[in-house]
Amino acid sequence: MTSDTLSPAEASHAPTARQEAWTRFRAWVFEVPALQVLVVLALAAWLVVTIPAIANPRSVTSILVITSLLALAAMGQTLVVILGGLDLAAPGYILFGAFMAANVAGKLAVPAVVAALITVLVCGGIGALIGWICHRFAVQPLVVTLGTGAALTGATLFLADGDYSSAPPQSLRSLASLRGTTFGMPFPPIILIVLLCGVGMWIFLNRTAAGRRFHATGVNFRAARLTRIRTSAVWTLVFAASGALAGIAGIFIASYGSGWSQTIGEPYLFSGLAAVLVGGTIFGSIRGSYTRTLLGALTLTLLSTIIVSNGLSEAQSRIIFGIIILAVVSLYGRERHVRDRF
Amino acid sequence: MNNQPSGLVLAGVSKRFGATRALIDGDLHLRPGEIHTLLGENGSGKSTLVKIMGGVHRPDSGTVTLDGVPVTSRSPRAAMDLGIATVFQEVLTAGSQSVLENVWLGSHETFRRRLGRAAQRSIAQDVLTRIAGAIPLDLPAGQLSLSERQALCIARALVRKPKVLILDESTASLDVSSRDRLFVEMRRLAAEGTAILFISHRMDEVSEISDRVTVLRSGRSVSTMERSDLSINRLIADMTGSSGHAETRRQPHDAGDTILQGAAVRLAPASTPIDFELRAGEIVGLAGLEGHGQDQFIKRLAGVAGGPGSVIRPLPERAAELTERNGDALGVAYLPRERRGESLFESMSIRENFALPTLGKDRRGGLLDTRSMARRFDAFARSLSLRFGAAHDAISTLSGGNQQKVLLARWLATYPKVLLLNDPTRGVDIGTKREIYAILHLLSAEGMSVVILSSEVDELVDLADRVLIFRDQSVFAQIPHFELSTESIVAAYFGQKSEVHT
Amino acid sequence: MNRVLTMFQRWPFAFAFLLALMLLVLNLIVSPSFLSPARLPGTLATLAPFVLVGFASTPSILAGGIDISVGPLATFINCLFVAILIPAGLGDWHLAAPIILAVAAGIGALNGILVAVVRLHPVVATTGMLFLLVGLSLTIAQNPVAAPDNWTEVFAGGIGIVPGALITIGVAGLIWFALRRTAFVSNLLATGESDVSAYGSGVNIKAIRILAYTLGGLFAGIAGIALTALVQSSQSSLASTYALLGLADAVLGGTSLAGGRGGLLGALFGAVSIYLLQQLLTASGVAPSLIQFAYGAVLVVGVVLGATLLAPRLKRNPS
Repeated sequence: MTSDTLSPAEASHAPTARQEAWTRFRAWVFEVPALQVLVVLALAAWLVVTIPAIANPRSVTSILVITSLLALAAMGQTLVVILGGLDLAAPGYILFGAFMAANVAGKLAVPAVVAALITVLVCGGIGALIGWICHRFAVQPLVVTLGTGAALTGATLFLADGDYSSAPPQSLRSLASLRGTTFGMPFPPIILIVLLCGVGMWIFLNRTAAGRRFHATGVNFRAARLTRIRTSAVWTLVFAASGALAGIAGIFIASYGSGWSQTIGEPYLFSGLAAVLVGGTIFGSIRGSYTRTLLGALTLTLLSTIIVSNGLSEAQSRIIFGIIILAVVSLYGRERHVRDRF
Repeated sequence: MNNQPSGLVLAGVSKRFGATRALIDGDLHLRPGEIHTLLGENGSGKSTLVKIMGGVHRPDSGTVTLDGVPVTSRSPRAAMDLGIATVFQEVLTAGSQSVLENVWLGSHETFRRRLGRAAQRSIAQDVLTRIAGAIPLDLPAGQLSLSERQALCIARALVRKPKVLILDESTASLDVSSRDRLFVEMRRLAAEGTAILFISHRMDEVSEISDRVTVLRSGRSVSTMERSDLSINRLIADMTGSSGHAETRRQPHDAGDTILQGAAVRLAPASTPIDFELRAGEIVGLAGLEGHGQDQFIKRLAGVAGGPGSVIRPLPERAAELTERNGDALGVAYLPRERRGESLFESMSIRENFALPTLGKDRRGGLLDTRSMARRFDAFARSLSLRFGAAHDAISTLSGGNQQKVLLARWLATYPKVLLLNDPTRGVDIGTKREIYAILHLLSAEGMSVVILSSEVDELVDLADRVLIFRDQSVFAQIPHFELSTESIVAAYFGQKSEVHT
Repeated sequence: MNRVLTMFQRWPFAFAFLLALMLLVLNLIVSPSFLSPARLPGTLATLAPFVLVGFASTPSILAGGIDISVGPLATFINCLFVAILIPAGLGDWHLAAPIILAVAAGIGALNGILVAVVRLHPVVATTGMLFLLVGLSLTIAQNPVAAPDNWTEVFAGGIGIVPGALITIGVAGLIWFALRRTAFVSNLLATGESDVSAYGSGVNIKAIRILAYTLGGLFAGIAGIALTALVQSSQSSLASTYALLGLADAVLGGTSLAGGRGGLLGALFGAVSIYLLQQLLTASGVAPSLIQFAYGAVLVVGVVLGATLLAPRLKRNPS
């Protein structure tokens, strides 16, 4: 509907109070990830009811750790999707991070902090380059990130020189291990780290000028430029963040698995995207946040657990993921009809 | 032989979008062989009525009949199959396809073409020439000027030989010669029995072409007048619901220091360089036929477009050249022409659309203070008489006029020394227009300089201290205040300087 | 210089074509027997799935959307044929081929309905479908199943002197060529460039979009046949390999992701370029990891060059 036809103050018959309340309620439900919270609670309830044995600290920790890894891998992707693009280089960044953790920090005994720093600089730097290129040359990020991811994967595998047998050092493994502790509490630090990231992201996106300008750039690029927003900085920094975050995720993923392989990053591309979509973030719209991705990751992990414990295979879990993605986005992520864009 | 009225008849049509009733009681009788003008401000329901006729929307209630037969078009295609061709307000062309393809776009089936290539070419050539002069058929449509593209859209409707032709603001982007040719074509078609619905905001066009005029206000059809009864004052009164207003003509007044300077600014490779000076408290108008450089010029002043020559802001310490980055710091604010494409963040809230460039003012310790933002917004909303539901609603819920006010507030909140407005009252209803004029008068009295590009001659006559007329990518004439009139401006459009000074 | 640029603008595939030509020459230098009649059918048979997946990606992109499920669809068709149709006795070509093509086109149509009717974002719809197809492929054939002798072998070999791969590619090409002579492609390009313009002008954009995805599905089905011809087994693990390759082919070949520009020739030359690059580096003894690096680098450079060469006049709109 065009703005030119709406004049709420001028309509002589105002909608009834009930209709207005219902419209506001509906808007609120879709604005706040209420649906996602409900789904998570429902799935958790179902899990506990069908398998009472699951309600033990170790299983819960396991679910939370896996969720954290997925959420970490999807953090950068969330930002890129809010901007209106897609970062297909994620598997490459994750692979590099895993390589750093296993071969560099593990085998070569380089201090973990240094390895992490190098990861952030390399992946962040590559991401920054991607963002700058896409902005400067007005190219869609899809194939640029695809190519960059492939190039980074190739380079990493070349550096690894066939050695996939190393493990990350204990200092890193304890961050994600199921037996790890955080300040004496019986769960590994990664859960807290991801939660803190979630809080930090929320503050950034909602309560800082930079965050609002970032949202605006995703909603309407041309208008953002004319509103004197430095869109080149936005693009460069978002893709840099996406790279750095995925690289860090790779470190943690390798640490959890106590090792890595050539294909360690691949599942996280589409699973990460699934987490973002199931959380309800919409491409280039104001409705997008990392909280949603956290909920999405939790939903998918709970679903996987239910599926596996019911004896279904990974194949079936893929099918169900597909259906869930389609169902969730059909509910309230539908694009506007052409007639409403007139 | 039936007793049903012939032509397109809408009776009691209503349409709501969500909680808003855009059209409450629309009545229109479009007879074959007449040119019927539809008038109404934005918010009157006129756009919705046109879209219902064109097949984009379906009415919630009421009847639509064509020659007595009830009609419910589910899409523009369905309407076209019934013989109703609509040229919509937005200029819709597929830029990378040829002119020929664009003219026949939508006339074919999904797979089958209804006419052979040769017939397509000759008909398209014929129709296009009659409106826009010679346009090569194989040129990609994206290379045409805005006026030529608008003509192409009109040609698209005409080649279908419709029973009912709807022209929604189709003259807005046409240059004057094309418009005159269009009027000739319209009269010819009407004589052959086509029913034509014409929509325009320009009163001179309405008086010239209409056989009958229907006025919409607040979602209802308010009056229908025959040509012989036409009175501009009555039309405006019906549209606004108030009696006539006193024209507020700007009083001449002194200007202050030079606040912006353009030196040897070139708008196109071989065009005449422009030197320009803007003084404090001035309102300068920019005008000209579509595509003659005034749009490019205001963008140069804003620093949004680049090119030969420089635009300088003389400051006490030094003269600073304007670039894309430093507009803020130099106190230059620019309100772009296209609301939707260039200014609005439709899914973001009203308050946020207002605050975006000035978020720095709401910062406290690195974080945003929403109360400070709310306070600033409320202050501007009051001074601009903004009408809205809640400040956190999406800005897409506002009418066009109110949206424009929010955008104006956005830039006024930067407390600029220079306000550059690119066609700010386009698609804005008369009531809001007057409010905006009053605000501009006030601001210039306080020392702000305004440069306003407008396609409405009357607006410039009322507002400006002087008007620059653009022709062929350069300033053709400057009309000072004492010579400002509709006649002198339009004469200058066509290259007649007569008594005006350069 | 301007004339060269105009040439690139008129033929979006020009860049990929020149790249492919250059790589072909380099390949011939490194391995002179590259195009020999003995090797050619095998080379083309390996190339065919790449090309066809590129073909399959193209109609949806032209329509202004995208389909990332074409690769998994090709793999699914491969698994369907080898692991279900043959064992069920439906392996003969006059039974299997219609079933395969109907299923593939049907899945494509489903994508089209999700995008055009349910109005999901194309990335979302086809990602969901991707998960479904990968899951289905794994369900049907978790581990590779060898295929007994069947009619697809001919597409990896030859019929007389004609390499079989040319038939699979040729059939797809012919379908597209036939469609170009109708109003469909013109409607498709207009819809892709500006669906609002097309809709307002009376084009049935819903039908056009669904048909575009259906066509993509059909081409993916043919890709599945070519894949089966090549590997003669079910390979569910290949889904991820082909998933995004089709996209790379099409975009490298000049098809714009914004819609409205490009065609099958672009996907052809894009696929050929990527394939020749890999062949060249393999023949030169370069390590597989570095080949992957080179592929990625060429993709980035190719896309950026294409954007700057082909679109100096288009509006800048990165997202």
